[in-house]
Amino acid sequence: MNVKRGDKPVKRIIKYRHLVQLLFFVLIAAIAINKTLVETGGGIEWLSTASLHAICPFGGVVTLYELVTQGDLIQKIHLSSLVLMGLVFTLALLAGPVFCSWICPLGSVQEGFSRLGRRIFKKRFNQFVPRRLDHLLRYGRYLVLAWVVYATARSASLIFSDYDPYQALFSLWEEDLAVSGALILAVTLLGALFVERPWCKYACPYGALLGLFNKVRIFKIRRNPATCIACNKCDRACPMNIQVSEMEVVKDVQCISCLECTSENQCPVADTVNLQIRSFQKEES
Amino acid sequence: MKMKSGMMVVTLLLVMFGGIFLADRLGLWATQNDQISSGGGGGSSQETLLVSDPSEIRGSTTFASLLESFPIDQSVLYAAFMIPESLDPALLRSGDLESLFEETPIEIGNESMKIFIALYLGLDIELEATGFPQSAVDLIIQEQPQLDEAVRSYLEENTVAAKPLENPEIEVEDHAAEEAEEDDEHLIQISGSTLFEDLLDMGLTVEALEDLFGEAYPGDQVRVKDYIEGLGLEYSTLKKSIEALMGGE
Repeated sequence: MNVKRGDKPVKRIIKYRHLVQLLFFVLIAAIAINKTLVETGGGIEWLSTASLHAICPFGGVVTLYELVTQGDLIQKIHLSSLVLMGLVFTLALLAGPVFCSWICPLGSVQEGFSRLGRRIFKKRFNQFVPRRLDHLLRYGRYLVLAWVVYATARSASLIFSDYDPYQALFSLWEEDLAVSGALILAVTLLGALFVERPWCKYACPYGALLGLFNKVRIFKIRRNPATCIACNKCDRACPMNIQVSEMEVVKDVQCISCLECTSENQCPVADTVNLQIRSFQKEES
Repeated sequence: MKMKSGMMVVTLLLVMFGGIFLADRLGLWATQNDQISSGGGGGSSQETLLVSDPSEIRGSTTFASLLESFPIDQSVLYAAFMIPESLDPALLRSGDLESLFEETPIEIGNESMKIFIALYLGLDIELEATGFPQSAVDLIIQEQPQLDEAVRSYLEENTVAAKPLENPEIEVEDHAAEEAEEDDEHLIQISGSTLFEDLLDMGLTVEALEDLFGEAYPGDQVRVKDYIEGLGLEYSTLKKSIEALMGGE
């Protein structure tokens, strides 16, 4: 039976994710600012003064080679990065790359710019890149991932740091802001006016790695073909342009588990697109 | 079993913050490096200090912060970069080295400070092209006689015949103007290497210090930071109390 869901739950769901995004953005920005303040003789005592590298889970990934071969961490990376890497992997194994859609501040900022882009370009927004080119460009993040891991292993230093828009975002007020990182950040944010999450789609090495968990995660986005009315709202809602309506289980490595396509959100039919463990057929039987 | 947004929020926060809490309890949550050091040049006591990674030193980091963060004496840092003793470590920033040594063929600046501290303390650092005064190189070699050949030749290549500007006070005074005007000079002179004797010189009395710590006066030559940490107290909190004590006098 197809059941229309009301408008109220949609608002609540959107707020949940956005609130979590806001929480992590404010938290990380506050820590980054506090570190600068402490170094110049001020700062808030009860707030962490950890460096951005220390609270970046990707730092744990890039130091793995050094850890295995030398038993040491690369410069600027601390145990906290490895802990965060483990926690984010745990979440990814459970429900996919939720880090990307619920936590990553760079993703949140891109979404902010994309809202503006959507207002300007309306239905053309997120449809500018021809499908074939888009498909090809999405391999870019695996190239970046391979380069980062290789270059970091070779140099035993944080090579990627100077090109990392996430690092640049929280170093904008710093004297040693890397020009390359700032430029990439500017291009990313400009791109976000035309395309949803351009950095995540085409260049993010961490997203590339987390996306692989979509193949094995426990909770998967599942569509029930028996109740689906083929309205394609799920396709249009997906920021990563995944054709959810053509799948029963979303295993696409680009899925970021934002839940926009689900029946809680854009899907107009209750219990038709869900994040769940078992398939609809098994549940019904 | 379905996972809705509400459950996602709970799961996500539980995994992230619960995981961090658990890691902290297990002693796995470290956002800085723990290093064992003998206290650098002239330090007498063996101690375990929590120090930051030298590669994270920024141009805006004050010398006072450096002295608190690393087991290195002010005299060593000043001698390495030929900084006049009259310059206040709380106002002098690592990036100021650039203006102190404006006329060198290879720039002496924040990178020089990072690498100097790392090599002097025997810590790992990526060696980048940056200048060092002969005095800094001499101190590194004196402190780390086992320095390997590659590092020695790197230092040789990057040693510059440097002389600090005659009027560096001009640059430093600019920073002082940026600081709050009410900053009392006495309030900003406590660093990691400050002795109890220095506190007395700054105008504090033995009685006032005994009242503050609730212990007998430990002696002139005891480092304030060592003493506070030895009591198991928070250095930054006590430092503020001492500064407040000075401000009240």
